[in-house]
Amino acid sequence: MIRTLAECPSAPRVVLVHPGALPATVHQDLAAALGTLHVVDLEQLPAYRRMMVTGEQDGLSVAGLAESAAEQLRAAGLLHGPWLLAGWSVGGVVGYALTELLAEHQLPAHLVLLDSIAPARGYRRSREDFTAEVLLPWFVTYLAAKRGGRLSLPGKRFRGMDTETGLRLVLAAGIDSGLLWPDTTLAGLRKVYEVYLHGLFRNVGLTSAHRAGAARVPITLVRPENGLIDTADPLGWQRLATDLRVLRCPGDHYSMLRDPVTVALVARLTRQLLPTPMTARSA
Amino acid sequence: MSEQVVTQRPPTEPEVWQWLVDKIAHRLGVPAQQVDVHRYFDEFDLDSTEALVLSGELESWLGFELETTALWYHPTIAELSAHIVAKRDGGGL
Repeated sequence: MIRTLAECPSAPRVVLVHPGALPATVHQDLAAALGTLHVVDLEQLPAYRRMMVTGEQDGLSVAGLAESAAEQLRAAGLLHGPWLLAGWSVGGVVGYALTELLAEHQLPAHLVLLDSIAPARGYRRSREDFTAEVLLPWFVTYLAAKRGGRLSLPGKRFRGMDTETGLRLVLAAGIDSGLLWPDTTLAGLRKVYEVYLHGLFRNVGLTSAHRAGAARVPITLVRPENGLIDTADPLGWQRLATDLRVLRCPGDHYSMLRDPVTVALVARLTRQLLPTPMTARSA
Repeated sequence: MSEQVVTQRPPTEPEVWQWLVDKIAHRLGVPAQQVDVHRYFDEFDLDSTEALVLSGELESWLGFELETTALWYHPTIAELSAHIVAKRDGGGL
């Protein structure tokens, strides 16, 4: 469940909770910039991965995932000394839940959330809240990140479209841009979309069901230019945290992870928040 | 880009087998005889998106949906082909 992408003894320890959708190696550039990065890969839990495919909740909860993560981090000896916790998307919610259950001396110095939506009143959603007009543009950005390319299809292109019509548009644009094989069929793309929705709604369900307490550590929320939700307020975290700041970065919910500006920003932030072990020893 | 036509007669196990071999060989750009039907799907050089596209196209060709876990529990061409035909013949579809 814990994957070490980089480990440099002189670099501050950073743990990142990754919820799947994209492979954990998507954080490779960040790992290189940080020097040390341990990724808690939730998809390594069979029940969580099965939910991605089937959409069945299987009794999983954010608190349960956080408990599993804590056990693994404890076993790996990563919960001592100064460290920083980060989480992308629903991984940020699991990371937050992790801070709720750790002992005081095990807490990270800071929690960095990468476009995570808070498990807070006013931000809980169910699948009925999402229309094809909302979901299809997200799917386009996911598909581009998954295939390692770019696909320019603004959300307004899907206005008034049903799912089938929208998927035909994605298919044509995906083939034109080289993201999809020229002989990809609508049936094939529809399957990708269905599984994408299973994962998305799994995360929506997990987040909505979690009842979070007040924050125990300072939080920084990093929001991409084209995040999942376009709101002025910090995605509900203001309801849970008083020590909260927000940073902006380029990209969308998926592309932000590989964006060099975002990677540099998170690396700089980490250096500001955590002294390196060498600095700590000499201080 | 057009939808594939559903076969009139339910495919036999060797036909399902051959359909998968041909599709994977095409995606990998190798001759069909180089596709090992006992190799795990995730050991082929297909990414997860391509595997899902293939799964959707298989359902379209068969004319019915597979359980979403079918590729997990029957992870080779040989096992999946046998499962599809057994399930259909056993009235599971």
